[in-house]
Amino acid sequence: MITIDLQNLNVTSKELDILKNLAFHLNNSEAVGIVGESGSGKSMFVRSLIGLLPIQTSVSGTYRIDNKEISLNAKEKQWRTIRGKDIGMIMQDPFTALDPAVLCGKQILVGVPKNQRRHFDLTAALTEVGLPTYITKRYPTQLSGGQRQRVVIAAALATKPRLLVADEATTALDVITQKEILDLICNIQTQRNMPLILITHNILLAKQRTKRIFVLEQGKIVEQGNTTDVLTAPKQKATKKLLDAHHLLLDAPYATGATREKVILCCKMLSKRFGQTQALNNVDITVDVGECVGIVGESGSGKTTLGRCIVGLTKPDFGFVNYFGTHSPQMIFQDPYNSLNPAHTIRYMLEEALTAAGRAKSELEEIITLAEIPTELLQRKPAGLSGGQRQRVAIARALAPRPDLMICDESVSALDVKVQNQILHMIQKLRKKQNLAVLFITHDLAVLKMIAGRVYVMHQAKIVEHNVTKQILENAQHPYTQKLIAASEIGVS
Amino acid sequence: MKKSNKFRHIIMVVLTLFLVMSMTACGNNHNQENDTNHTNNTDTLNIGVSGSISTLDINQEAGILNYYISALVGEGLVGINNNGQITAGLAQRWYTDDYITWSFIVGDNSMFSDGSPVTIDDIIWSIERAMDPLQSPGVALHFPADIQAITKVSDTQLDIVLSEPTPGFIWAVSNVAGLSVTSKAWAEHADSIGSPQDLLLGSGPFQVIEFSPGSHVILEAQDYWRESDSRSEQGNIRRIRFDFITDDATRLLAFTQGSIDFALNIPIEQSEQWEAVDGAQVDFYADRSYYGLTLDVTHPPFDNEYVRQAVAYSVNAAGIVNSVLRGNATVATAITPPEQFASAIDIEEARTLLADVTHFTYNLERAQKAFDQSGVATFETTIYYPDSFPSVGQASLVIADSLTQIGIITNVVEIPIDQWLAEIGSNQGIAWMILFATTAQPQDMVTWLLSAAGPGSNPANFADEEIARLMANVVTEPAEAGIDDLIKAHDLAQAQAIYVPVWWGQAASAWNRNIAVSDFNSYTLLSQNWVQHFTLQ
Amino acid sequence: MKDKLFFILKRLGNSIITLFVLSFVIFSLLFLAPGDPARNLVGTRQATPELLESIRAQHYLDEPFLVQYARWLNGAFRLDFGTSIRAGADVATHVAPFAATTFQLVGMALFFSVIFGLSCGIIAAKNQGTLRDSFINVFALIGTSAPGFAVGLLLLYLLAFQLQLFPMFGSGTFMHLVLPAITLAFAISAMIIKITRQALLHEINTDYTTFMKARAISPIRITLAQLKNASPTILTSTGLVLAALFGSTVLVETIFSLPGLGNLLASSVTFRDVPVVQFIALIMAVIICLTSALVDILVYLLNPQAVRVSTSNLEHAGLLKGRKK
Repeated sequence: MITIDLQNLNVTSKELDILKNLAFHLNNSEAVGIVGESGSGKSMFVRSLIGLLPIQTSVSGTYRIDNKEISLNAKEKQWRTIRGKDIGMIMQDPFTALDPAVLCGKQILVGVPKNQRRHFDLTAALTEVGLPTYITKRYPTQLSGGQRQRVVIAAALATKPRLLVADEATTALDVITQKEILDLICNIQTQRNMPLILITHNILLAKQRTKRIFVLEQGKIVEQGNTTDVLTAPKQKATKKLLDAHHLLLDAPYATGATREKVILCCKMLSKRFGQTQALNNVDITVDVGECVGIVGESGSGKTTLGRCIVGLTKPDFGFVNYFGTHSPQMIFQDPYNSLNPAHTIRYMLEEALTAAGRAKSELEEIITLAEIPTELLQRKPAGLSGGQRQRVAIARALAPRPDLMICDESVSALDVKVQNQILHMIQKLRKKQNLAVLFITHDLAVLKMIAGRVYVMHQAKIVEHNVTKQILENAQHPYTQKLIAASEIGVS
Repeated sequence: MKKSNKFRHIIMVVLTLFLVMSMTACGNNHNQENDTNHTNNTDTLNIGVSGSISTLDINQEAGILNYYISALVGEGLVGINNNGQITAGLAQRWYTDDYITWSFIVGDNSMFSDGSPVTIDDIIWSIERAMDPLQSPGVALHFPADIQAITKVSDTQLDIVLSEPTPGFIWAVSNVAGLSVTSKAWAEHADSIGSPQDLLLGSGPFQVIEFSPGSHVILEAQDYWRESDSRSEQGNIRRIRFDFITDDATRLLAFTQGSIDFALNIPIEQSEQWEAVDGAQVDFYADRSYYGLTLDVTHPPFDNEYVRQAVAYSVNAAGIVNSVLRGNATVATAITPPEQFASAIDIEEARTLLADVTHFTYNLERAQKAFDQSGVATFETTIYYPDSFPSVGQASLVIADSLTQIGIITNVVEIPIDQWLAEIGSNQGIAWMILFATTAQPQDMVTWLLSAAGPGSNPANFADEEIARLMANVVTEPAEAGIDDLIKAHDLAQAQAIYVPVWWGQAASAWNRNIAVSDFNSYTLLSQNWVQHFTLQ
Repeated sequence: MKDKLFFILKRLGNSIITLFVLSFVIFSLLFLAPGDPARNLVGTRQATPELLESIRAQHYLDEPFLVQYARWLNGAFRLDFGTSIRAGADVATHVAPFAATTFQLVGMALFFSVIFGLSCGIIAAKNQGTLRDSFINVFALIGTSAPGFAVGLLLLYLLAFQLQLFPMFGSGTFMHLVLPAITLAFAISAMIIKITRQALLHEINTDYTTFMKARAISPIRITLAQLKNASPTILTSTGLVLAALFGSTVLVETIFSLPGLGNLLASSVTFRDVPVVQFIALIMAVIICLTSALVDILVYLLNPQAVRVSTSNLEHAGLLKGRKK
């Protein structure tokens, strides 16, 4: 049991207000949710609880744990008495949260207080998070994302915290794994009778898993209270916006299929092996002119390899790719932060793409209109753009050679819901205007529903099911598809 | 747990390795001296030289330093004195009637530094070894190839029979030619004569007690020297230490600090800095070197005598000596410098004789006239000079300037010393000749230059019957008589402007107030018991 | 454990193959030099026909090339590289004290620079942006820019001449090696500082660091973990620097009149003492090969999974570093 009382929390960085006048109170073992858009300050809030704010921030306010006053500007030494022992944190990205050079068992042990280390039962700790014992002798790189997050949880619990904070703990994982991890965390919370703070941008998650909720917008708490109450009858605009954005995706109508006339892409018997792993196993795909087809599957299912084979970045071991378009297919990648050259301005990049496509630089106007990029962004470099803006630039770049087929590999997964919506709408418009065929690779069924007419479901390098989107989502045949739907939000709502 | 232990173990191992390496540096060579600075022990003479030796054995490596050390550690049948004249070595007396059979009387009181006596067998063995080009690559070329027989006549006499009368043969058995007698028994036991492990065994006044190639040599007065009784009168030095200091700046600092007492052959350009050191004395002396031009008579247009004369008149030797060499040289009137004649005639007489040899004094008008008279049109040529002689480069520029004025457009190019050595005599037109005398025989410096048998026999590729005849006489006549022919040969060659002498060089050595040095010249360190010229104060 | 052993053996095996190839090239030096090999072996001696004949016999120059190489290699294994043309002594015996001096010099320089460089690099990274960091950066800048001979002469003048704390020339004791070692260490530690600082900075802003901090793990442990992750970069770069160091000691050896390998190699090349040049070249080849093998092995032992091919080959296929959604 732990009591946390926070008043007048103000966090500023370089003249900008990150958090303003926050008040937070916790004194029982319930699950509390903190929701908001990205950039609303959720992460900063929990970091100020354990003194892990970035260097050039100034913080002020009153902070009490168990009625003992804690200085928000305390030295590291003092924070070390609070971190781990009182408050434990599970971080977002399991792929970077663990030290890649150290065995998992050791990493868990390292957090245990020194005097208890000898008596610590590593096997029990692993069982608690649902991992077998051999994991102790493995390196994080040898584990899957879900397994790594479980190790992170075990490591965080090893310090015996009285309060657990999960900062977007599942955002980096697959839909099915997300569900499993969240189940685990909630289980642990109940069993240990420990309070939990769950931070997420996914409002549905908060609805399912939390009792109380705080809604953040631009650094201020705009609404708080009992979760069900707040979410069924939101009072503030911000809350409503979040809910709307969410439902926007879920309630969107099914995408229209194309009239299936001409084939633009035909892949047959594609197979590819990387060392020991089979990435593609006898895969057949067809895409028609102007159609949008979705490929859905977990990470490791082979969908990215498929996309790369189509574009020519990877050569398949077996099978062939028949492309009937005049201009080569273009690919939009997942991470808008990494796919643009940080050293060049937007104008330079797009002009370069035009030149490479054999078009004049003056046609810049055309592609930025299609991608809905405001002109003032042209002289900036990628660092000065938001994720959504960058993805637009990537799309504009892809449009330069007037492709007949565009392949989007998880192109909206790293974006906010609202921005996702915008980008997806834009892609739909493009499809209609340019008669552009789109192959959309994703793990998110809600996205598929909105944009794809037909869906191929991939699991372990094979296509397990293939049908019109509506049929897949409402009448799935293959057990894996059913599992996928059950775990996703579509299934739940 | 285990991982971090492994990490620590690796660090420990690596650290220990380094510690061990440093320790070995610490406790290295306990038989070596451990003073951090060479505090002047009361009886040690510290000499700093800029070269180094890789072996003590002069038969193997015949660098000038090897000679200096050999002069003190070993002996030939004869040696030289400070004036360059032949004096007694192991042989007390020697005589020959016909210059074919040479008899040497050896005393019975000479001993090697290990106490064993020097026998005739040792001497014969050493001579035969020195003659063998396979065993003695360093000195064998000085030995005449025509020794018929070496016989032991008695326990104190040895005879050498030549095939032709050779008055100059006495030089061949001196330490200056590289003969250093050692014990046959010891040598046959040694793995590698002259190495740090075996060192050297000789009958000279000093023995080598320590040798570190590239670093230093330490000599100590040996008790079995036949004249050790008279030692106390001959100065108070019991130890001599040669330090090889490669960098001249470091050597100057060491000298200033007092770590070395005597610096051999300092760079003449730096002599002022050395003189500036408190209590220091710098001495300049003729080093029996010749710097001059060679004109290749087989390379047109230098086959034209007037062209050669034009070149000879264009060389402003006095100007070069005064400006480039700052007066630390002598204008050369002939190839061989007067000091080289010291063993045969008086130096002043030598100077007069050499001044009378035909040579061309700087006169640009005459140069122009000679060139015009030659009928050769303006042409271009190049003078190459070796990179290790910057003063030669500057002199080249001066000469090139004059030549260009009269119509011989001259370029000056610096090349590496190895390349320059390799290209001597290879058809260059104008080339530098830089000679350092090795032995003290008067004809030593021109045996090659005046070997007038046509292309390939000398660097100027010239042939001259008269000069060849004169040089043949020099070999067969005893020194004093041969001097005239030698001088005449110089005269004939220089009159044809085949060789154009520019300057005779000087060297400089420095010493501090810890020691007194007497009569230091280019023969000193080759002379018998040369340590007698140094006294500790 | 088996994996580790296998890796070490494989890496050493690689080195041995490389050394064989190098030994072939080194052996061929004699024949690659312009002119007749027999004449090149004459050195400063007079090239009489008898001498040439005897050299040909002594070095088996009339036999087929590969047979000669086999003989030479056989001799090499017994540390018999023939006789030094200049010194007339057995090559290995003659070169040994020079090699020992240079080894000690380099070892000491290594010791100083690793200790000083690593600690300064760590301090600079941990205190990024502060005065401490600036000082260290300035020092590193001077260290990499200052020419070696200038540093050496300065040390010689100040510490050996003025203050008389160290001897000015010669060899044989620990004190003789200190100033030359410091001269070398000056430049190397500067490089190590830069490398360490950069590599460590990379690790300081990582998520795993934050997670460790969140678990109240001691800062020393955190720094060690960061170092461990940075160690492939630090070790490999440092290893390269060190390998190059071995061939560049000649300047320092000249200034301090230290009879070392660098000086000996330079003068042996001038004097065309081919057997000595071959031996020294082989020593350097061995040192460099062993150093890089050692560094690779050390990197592997500290960080096995950094060296292993990524097990998730789908990461290979283009999925970004794990950001799966």
